[in-house]
Amino acid sequence: MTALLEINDFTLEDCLSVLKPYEKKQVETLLKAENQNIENVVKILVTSIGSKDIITFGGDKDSVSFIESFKNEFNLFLCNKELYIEERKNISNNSNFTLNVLIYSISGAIGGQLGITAGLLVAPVAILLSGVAKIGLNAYCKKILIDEEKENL
Amino acid sequence: MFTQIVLVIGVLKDGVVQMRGTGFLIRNDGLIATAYHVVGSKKENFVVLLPKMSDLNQYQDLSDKSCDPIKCNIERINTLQDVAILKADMTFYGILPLLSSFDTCSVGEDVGIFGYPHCSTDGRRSLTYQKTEIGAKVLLDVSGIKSKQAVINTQTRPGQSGSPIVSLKNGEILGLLIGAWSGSSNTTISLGGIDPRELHQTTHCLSAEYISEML
Repeated sequence: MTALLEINDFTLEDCLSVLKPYEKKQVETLLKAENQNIENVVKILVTSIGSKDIITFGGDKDSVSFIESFKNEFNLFLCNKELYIEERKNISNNSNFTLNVLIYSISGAIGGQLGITAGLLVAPVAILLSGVAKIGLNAYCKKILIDEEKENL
Repeated sequence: MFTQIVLVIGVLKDGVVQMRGTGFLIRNDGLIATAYHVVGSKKENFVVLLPKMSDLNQYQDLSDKSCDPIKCNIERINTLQDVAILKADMTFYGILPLLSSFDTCSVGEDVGIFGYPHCSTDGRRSLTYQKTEIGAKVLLDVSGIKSKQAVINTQTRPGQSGSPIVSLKNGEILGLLIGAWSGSSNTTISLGGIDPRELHQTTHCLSAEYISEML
């Protein structure tokens, strides 16, 4: 399987360094509280609306949790050669390619696809990307394929 | 001043503005703070409505539905503490109040709130001032992250989320209004479209230092 993107051996610290200081601090606290469970931390970041003990006034009460769609699109971006072709090309052809560009580009692309504010996805993408970098993109995509096949059985 | 910097946050849909809540200018280049739940996660055509009054003592015509919407985008989000920062296509040329913290005030101290109650439910646009006091200072835990909040002794209504809590001592912004305490009750009751769990004077506000941290 040929990697669709160049994902270097970024560490978690590399990925978190892209975040704003308040985001980095929150993610570090959450990772500690959740025993470094990336999936749990991503879910908390994406689904929280402050404290459950507070009834919030105003806003859009029809917001639906999109965590599964987000994770699905993240996998499609990295592993599906039929989708997000232009977006991956733009990243790879960017002469200023940095981890910052990678994370913000993925967040923007997925946000656009799901109709979700990209800013909400930056920290979750950064965290998930560190997990991908840990095992390598090819191995990650192979694992996704195997998991999907198991689900379809 | 607060008549010029406390704004309605809304969404422009089919030529009509659906009001969602309150926000306030925190920087002269158009940065606005509000509660995250006012804007939510969906990508929408967010707008702020330019003020229609220069004097709080003016009579506000509730039948006047005209408005001057300015486009804005979401700049930063903090889901755990329920804060969002928007960037509006506008410049404010006056002096803005400083962002402070509940650390600088005492329980029992008088504070003011400026907001738009009922704007999100009834289409009512009326900048309303309330005076109350700090009833308690609390730490609220969300997924292991504790945040400083204050309880203010007043009942607030939908549309007021995102309202600034203002020190009457020095005019600084101490906090941002989030909502009413509910204690995670799983029961949902609605009487005439109102949840009775909201009808009390335990209103929670997030300390403004968390807004400063996001800048």
